[in-house]
Amino acid sequence: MPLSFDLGGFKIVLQPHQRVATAVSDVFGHTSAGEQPTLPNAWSIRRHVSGSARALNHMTRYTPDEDSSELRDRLFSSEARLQGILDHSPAVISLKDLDGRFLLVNRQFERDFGVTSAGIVGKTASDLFPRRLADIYTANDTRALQSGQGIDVDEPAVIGGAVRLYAASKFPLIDRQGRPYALCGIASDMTERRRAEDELKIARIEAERANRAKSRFLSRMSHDLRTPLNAVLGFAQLLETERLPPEQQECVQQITRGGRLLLDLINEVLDISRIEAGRLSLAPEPVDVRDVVRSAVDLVVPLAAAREVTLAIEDAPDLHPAVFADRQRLSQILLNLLSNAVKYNRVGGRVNVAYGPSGPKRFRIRVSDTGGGIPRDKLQLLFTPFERLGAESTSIEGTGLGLSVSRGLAEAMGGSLGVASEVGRGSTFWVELFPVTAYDPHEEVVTAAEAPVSATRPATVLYIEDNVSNARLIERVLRRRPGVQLVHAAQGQAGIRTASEIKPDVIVLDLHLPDLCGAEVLRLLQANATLQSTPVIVLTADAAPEQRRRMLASGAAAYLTKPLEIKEILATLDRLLTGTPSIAHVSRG
Amino acid sequence: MTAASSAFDRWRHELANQLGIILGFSQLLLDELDSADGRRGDLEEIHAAAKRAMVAMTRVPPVEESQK
Repeated sequence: MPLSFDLGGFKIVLQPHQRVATAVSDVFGHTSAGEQPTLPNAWSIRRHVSGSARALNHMTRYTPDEDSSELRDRLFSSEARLQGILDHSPAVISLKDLDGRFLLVNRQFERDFGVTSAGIVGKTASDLFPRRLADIYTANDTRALQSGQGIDVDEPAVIGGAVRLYAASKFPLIDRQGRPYALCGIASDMTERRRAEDELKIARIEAERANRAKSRFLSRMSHDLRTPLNAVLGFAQLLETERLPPEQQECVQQITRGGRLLLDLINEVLDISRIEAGRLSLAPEPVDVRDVVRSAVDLVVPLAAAREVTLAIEDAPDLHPAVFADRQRLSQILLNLLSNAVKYNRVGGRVNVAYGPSGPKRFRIRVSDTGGGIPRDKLQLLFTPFERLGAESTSIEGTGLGLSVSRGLAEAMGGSLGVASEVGRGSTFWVELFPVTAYDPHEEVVTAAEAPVSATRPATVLYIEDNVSNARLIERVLRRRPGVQLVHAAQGQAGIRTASEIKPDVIVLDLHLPDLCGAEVLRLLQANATLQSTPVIVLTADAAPEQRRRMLASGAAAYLTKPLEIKEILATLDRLLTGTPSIAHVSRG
Repeated sequence: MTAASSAFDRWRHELANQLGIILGFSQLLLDELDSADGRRGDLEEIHAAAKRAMVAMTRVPPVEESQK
């Protein structure tokens, strides 16, 4: 409220009034019409309360030289105005003498503490408050007086039986000789704000703790399950090649399906965890869209054939579209969208894949189906982990994690994943990524499939692995390479000794050994002049990309994860035993 | 129960389901194969591994307990 009337020599009194009024207005939400008042933060309250305090202090130093009735009237009216301002402040304001007796309190003080100004003036904190609180207030008052400048403190109060917390500024009032003659306190109730801050802090700590627990849980589950799963899938693959009656074949297929679904569950939940923690490792590069789409479609052909679903790609032969993506992760997304489009389609339905630019810097790959479609209100639920929209009660297999992983992967690659659906007509899922211009697909890295593999020569393979089932599985797998002899060592040190004695052609190494970690075994093998050129295949349950990178950088010739794929281990052994160059050493161009 | 633990409990439940399927079918085949059948060894490995996985799963405490 501006004070524009002429006050002559009393400006020195009223200017501080004005500063108090402005400060109080700033702090406690005099807002323009229609605007919601906002609660100031602790720093703002302290700054403005201190401003008000300084203004009061300045004013109280003034003593009029003349003693006239007009002067007294004006002083009286000025004091009344000041009291009016103080009474309209939502802050608790009090004035005490040097003995701690109240000289003045404002209306908010009366309201908060349930007292009247008349009943409090002349009393001390000890007369009004419980002893422990009074001691705190008195100690802070003493500190404020001794400081000369004032202090900012948090003070507790008991109001209506509940403890509340006030942010208080306490400062001495100084006379013309520079001596303190009173103490002013201005305080605001910070209980709700502090409670909100504490709740946020607790929520953050809880979330961090939950994340750590989740990581520990996943890491243990992943490791503890991968090793037995390796045996399940490995032996099931062996049984699949046996001649069995159809009913027994079906049993083996059920075992393999269960094992693969378990593997998907583990891998997908680990992916979600990595995406959530921002620890997903990606290797973005220009990826030929046509190539990655065809590869993914090829993989779902058997599933589509079983359900009589037609797969079609809308191709543009004269184009070589490319997107910037992690090839493996983009394949994973497409495989997920395609297998969903087949699984949730009607018998005899159709799945269509199309792609093309969707904006100046966007490229979209669309997978459309002719399934039952999804109601609009259910669309977002699709991306919730484990949400299968009722499919869990059908025979359609799935983890309920695929779409949430796919969306997370697309976003991690700077893209997006979305869906449009019409009940009764079908759905279109799309993944959108950054396009790459001037892309030459002939610069692709040569893949293992393109590398010629010649017949395996007689050779010795040393397998360093403590798990007997895994050893037995590899032994059974290698029966398919009659010329290859397997030697097994159950510990790291024993493995190194055996390697020195027999000089194997290839070493297969587990990373979790009872005596030495696999990384150390690899280091010791490489440090041995007679063994350093022996290729080492790391075969481990640890699927973490960082571990893969570390081991390949340390000299491993290949890094395979459990559960092992029989074809993959055999192809890798064939490659190493015939001297075909490793993929890791093939360069572009 | 937190959303995270609920999701992980469902995950755990799914894992147990699949392990149950593996155990069931491998037991079924073991019952059908002749005791002298050479393929019993592979099946026994599958059955034992699935049992180990089930035991391993019960040893890992639920997410909520891991937080304590």
